[in-house]
Amino acid sequence: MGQDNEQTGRAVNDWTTEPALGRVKVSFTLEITHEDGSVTKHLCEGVMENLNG
Amino acid sequence: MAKNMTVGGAATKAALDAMLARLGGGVFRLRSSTTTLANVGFNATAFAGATMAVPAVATANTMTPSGVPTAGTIDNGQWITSTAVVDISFNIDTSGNTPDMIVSNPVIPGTATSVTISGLTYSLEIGPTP
Repeated sequence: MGQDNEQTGRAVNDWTTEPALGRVKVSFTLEITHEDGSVTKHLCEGVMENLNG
Repeated sequence: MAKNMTVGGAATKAALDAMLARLGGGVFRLRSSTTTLANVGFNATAFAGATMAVPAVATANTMTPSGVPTAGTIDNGQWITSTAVVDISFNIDTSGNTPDMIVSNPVIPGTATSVTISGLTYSLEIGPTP
């Protein structure tokens, strides 16, 4: 058991009940080359603000 | 008392650089469920050093295109180290399905001869700055 957190009453090792601090953003372009030599590009992007999922 | 523990830019950069260094020589795997559609190779130095700002932003070095991919609809991705550890995974879909990663068209058609990734960036903000 972790030490009590005086602010919330939760154990300090309880990471499951609130979102973690932090934010991640990932961005890239998916490039697909075709038989005729043409290339199609699709932007792919995501922002994750609740790092606990 | 306010919750105001802070994390500075240098610490955020260090954390991001260390995490992404693990991907050197690994692969960015594009999958449909558990089926691999394409493996795009990370550079031996997967990402250039991240910026010091908050968020820290790291940009991938040039990646190696896949061979002929398997046609299908991409619904998830994995970043895998050269020692086959899945470090990062996420789902991919069109925006209506609220995925981790949004793409307008996730289909690899049967006419595809290769797939690659360009302009890959990873931005990280761990917490409020000092």
